Amino acid sequence: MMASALFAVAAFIAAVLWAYRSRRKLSLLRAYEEAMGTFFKDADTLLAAEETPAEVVDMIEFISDKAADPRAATEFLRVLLRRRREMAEGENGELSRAVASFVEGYPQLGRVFGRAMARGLLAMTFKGGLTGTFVRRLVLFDAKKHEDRTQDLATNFRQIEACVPHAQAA
Amino acid sequence: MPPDEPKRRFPPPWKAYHRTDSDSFVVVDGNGVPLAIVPYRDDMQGVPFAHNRLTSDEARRIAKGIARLPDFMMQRASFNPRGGGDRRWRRSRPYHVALQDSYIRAHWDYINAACRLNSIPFDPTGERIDRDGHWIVYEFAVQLDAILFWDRFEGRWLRIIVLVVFGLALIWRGPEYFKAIATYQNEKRRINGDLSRKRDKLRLGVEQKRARLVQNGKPARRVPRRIGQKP
Repeated sequence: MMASALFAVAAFIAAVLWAYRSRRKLSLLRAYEEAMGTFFKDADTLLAAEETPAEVVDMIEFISDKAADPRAATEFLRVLLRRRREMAEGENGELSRAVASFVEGYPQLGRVFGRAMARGLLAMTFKGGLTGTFVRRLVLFDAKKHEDRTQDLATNFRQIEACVPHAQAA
Repeated sequence: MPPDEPKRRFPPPWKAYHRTDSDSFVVVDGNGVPLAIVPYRDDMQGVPFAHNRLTSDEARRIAKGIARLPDFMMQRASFNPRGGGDRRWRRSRPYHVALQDSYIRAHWDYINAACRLNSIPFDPTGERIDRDGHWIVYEFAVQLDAILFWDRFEGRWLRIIVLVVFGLALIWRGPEYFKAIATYQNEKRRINGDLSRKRDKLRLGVEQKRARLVQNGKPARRVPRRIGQKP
């Protein structure tokens, strides 16, 4: 009798926890789908435009691949911390300059690009577990409002991530 | 009585009381219907030919025995074996029955009268259990007394309560939980498949875009450089 009681209690608790986890993950998955949907739509617009340079195409491909990677949020956090140090030393990469000139030269496409990067980075955090939540809540909490800043973040992410050996190997 | 007429029932509790006007004990059922009369004569004990008369003490004990008949005839639903498990129900602490405090307060007169009349000594151990309500534990020397007490006064074994509460909760909320789990699994499959198709389409678009860039004489792929590295 005692064993049955314990089994009933354990089964109930397991069902509650599993259902709670499923609901939580489902809400994250739907948010991920919504963000990636916007990203793919904007990416199609950018790829169809003649003015889009190779650097932007490269960024789109990069974010598209990273968004499905569960480790991407951790890498992003590490890159951000490293980038703060780099920027304090006054460094600026070639990619940042190319993207900045594209955004300034074509404001309409620049806005689409900013939105694509914001949604892409947000989507990446939905797959990142606890680190993803940390990045989303503390770093990208206003990503939708300030898409121009997010585009800088994405550019920096790409620029420094390219120097990480395992990412280059992949 | 005609055969098709329903049988009368004499609901418990049966009680025995002393009728002083006729020197007898009367057993009545739960509705007050007299069922048996046990007469006695205390003033004839010294008379030799009157030895077939009951004394008042003998008559009281017999009347009390008759009043306990429904307890013995009552069907026992179950009596869960003790031993192992919760420390409160070990064999070393036999015949403990817990009653809910609110139940005791509501039925105290009935419990007290029934136990006294049926010679069931019920002694609170002083132990209180606060789980699914406030419970008070009573101790019994004889197992049958504990069974009667448990059966008649809604005494409960706590582990049965736990089983019933969680079992019912699982039955009540279980379908909702399993639906949430199944929905997540289905949506996960759908969304991942959908996004995988879109990603493949994007890769194709990227390749086409790079081909167009090469046709226009522009660099197709940027070579990544280290930060701070001069070109």
